Amino acid sequence: MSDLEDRIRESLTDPRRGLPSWRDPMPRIRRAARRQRIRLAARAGGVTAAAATLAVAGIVLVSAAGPGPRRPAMPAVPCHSRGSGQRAGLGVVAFVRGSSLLVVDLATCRQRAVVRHGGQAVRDTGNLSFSPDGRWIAFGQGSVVAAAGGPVTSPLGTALDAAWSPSADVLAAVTPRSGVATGGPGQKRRLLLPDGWGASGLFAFDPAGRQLAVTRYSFCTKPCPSADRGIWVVDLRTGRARQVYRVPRGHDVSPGVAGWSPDGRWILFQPDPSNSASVAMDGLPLDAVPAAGGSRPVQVVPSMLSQPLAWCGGRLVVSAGGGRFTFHHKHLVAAGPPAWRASPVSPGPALGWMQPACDPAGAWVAAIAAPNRDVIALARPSGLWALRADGSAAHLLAGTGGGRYQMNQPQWSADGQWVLFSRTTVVPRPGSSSLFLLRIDPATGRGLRLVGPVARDTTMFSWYRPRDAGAA
Amino acid sequence: VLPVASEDEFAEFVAGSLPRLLRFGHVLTGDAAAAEDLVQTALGRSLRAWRAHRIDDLHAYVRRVMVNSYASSWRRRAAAEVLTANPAAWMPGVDEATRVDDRDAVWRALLRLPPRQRAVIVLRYYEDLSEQEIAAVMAISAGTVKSQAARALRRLAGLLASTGLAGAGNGRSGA
Repeated sequence: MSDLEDRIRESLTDPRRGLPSWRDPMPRIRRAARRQRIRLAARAGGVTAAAATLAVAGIVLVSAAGPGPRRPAMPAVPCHSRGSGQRAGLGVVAFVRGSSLLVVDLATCRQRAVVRHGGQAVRDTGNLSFSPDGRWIAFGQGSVVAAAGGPVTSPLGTALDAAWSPSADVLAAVTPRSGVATGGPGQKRRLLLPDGWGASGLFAFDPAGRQLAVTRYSFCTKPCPSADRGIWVVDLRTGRARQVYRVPRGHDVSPGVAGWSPDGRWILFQPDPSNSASVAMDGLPLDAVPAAGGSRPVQVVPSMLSQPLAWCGGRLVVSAGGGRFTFHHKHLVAAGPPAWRASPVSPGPALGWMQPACDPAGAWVAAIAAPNRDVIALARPSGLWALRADGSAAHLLAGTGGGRYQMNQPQWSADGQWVLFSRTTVVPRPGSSSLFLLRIDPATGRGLRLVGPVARDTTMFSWYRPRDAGAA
Repeated sequence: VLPVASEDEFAEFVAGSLPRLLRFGHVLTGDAAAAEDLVQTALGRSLRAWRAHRIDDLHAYVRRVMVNSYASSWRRRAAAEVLTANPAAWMPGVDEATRVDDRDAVWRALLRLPPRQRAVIVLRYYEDLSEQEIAAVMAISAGTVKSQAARALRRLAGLLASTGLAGAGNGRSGA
């Protein structure tokens, strides 16, 4: 030890350098943390107002996970490294990468290709879904493959938008000539509704898998024979069809079926006043009609973009609000039967909210949010949020990484302890998507551990959650 | 199951560590007010990270944030530092006076080091960290730590020599 080093030590440990400690330091530290958070949010650009509004509203963001910081708020644990025991029973995810269809086991993170280089049928699939027992995957225009791999079949022939029954390995699809066919792996194809019947492509199984609600609409010139137009419910066993909603005479409206209520007593649909894709892009009303028929429909929200329906218990949560500017004036509302009176869920107008997903207990909603601005851009940075189903305790789960990422399609595990979501790189240019798992504390809704990516370079994905298999 | 980060635990840590952190901040920045700012900034950041369950070793984390915040943000301030000794309530005897003068001279010389070199010296001689530990705290290589420390000691020796206090501290000669 040199003399200089001793002198440095003495100087640094000089007792005069001590400072009086602070009395009651935590409020001071909390204020500092809050200021830093707001500053970081503002630095991310364009979200100053949002941050200020949120601060005023008393909404607590999760640590540095806000839109500001460039590093991820919670470092992701590599999928295969540890904690796989906690992920047992989470099931498997099927996803499309390029023109291949792959599956990944969420417990082990092992991936395997189910369809290699499947060409356009895989690459452009707009539909990817597991059968209720997880044994089969439907993709493309009615193609089916075993989740364990094997030959690709088309049990329904060429079919648009095939969908699985929630209770059996049975698919339904609208035929190219507007009939409805059912069938499945190893089953004979059945024409449930004949070609020319007028099925429009929008249909939904009831929660028990016994009935199918189908939109009936066919283009015609005036005077239009509209009596058949409307929503029909078809008994899958008998094939008997009954009309539960009739489009008013003289109206050229296509009532697109959106889904059933969990109790099977209501059918929700979006009336498209001119069957116009352009109009639909600006949002359509959401109405509810009793599945038993005989009653007039009730409007749930005056305008919303097409989206999967999220149910928090018996209440529907949707992103309402019109306009094709993503996130602009989009807010979460909740409504339930029989009045279907919508009440706001998302807090304040600073953020626009999309893609709500309810946890199985109906306590928490995961959703995507971004500043409420009229920006036309598919690749807008957006964060993943959680809030209670009553709209309280909103907090950020995963931020945009300083504006680099867009979150998408949050989905809850069957036990409500994990959220699977897709993260897409949007800056410096729109790039690939990866899937991540976030462990959630069910009591607080806060994120505990980020795992992933569990899959990279994904486009479509579908999650088979075994514990809810067969559930309504 | 992961432990849930409780803010009470964080508050307990603050209550127990604050005097030490303030002192560390003081030797790092050389200024009482700057030390308080630095500690407040570091604890604010650490609280946010604590809530997000990103911290295993809280003390190491806070120290790291302090060092890196100081090295990145305190550069200009350190260069423009007005050096004053504050002997408040310290009543040295006659023999002690020379040593106090030397401590102040070393203190002033330390403040003239670039922030990264000063941080290396503080971590080495105040926190008693090894080169590897300093490298981990500052996110630099052990080789860089070694070279920064060597440069800092050379500079300090030069500064003290120019004040005529080289080797005055303990009655020894040479550095």
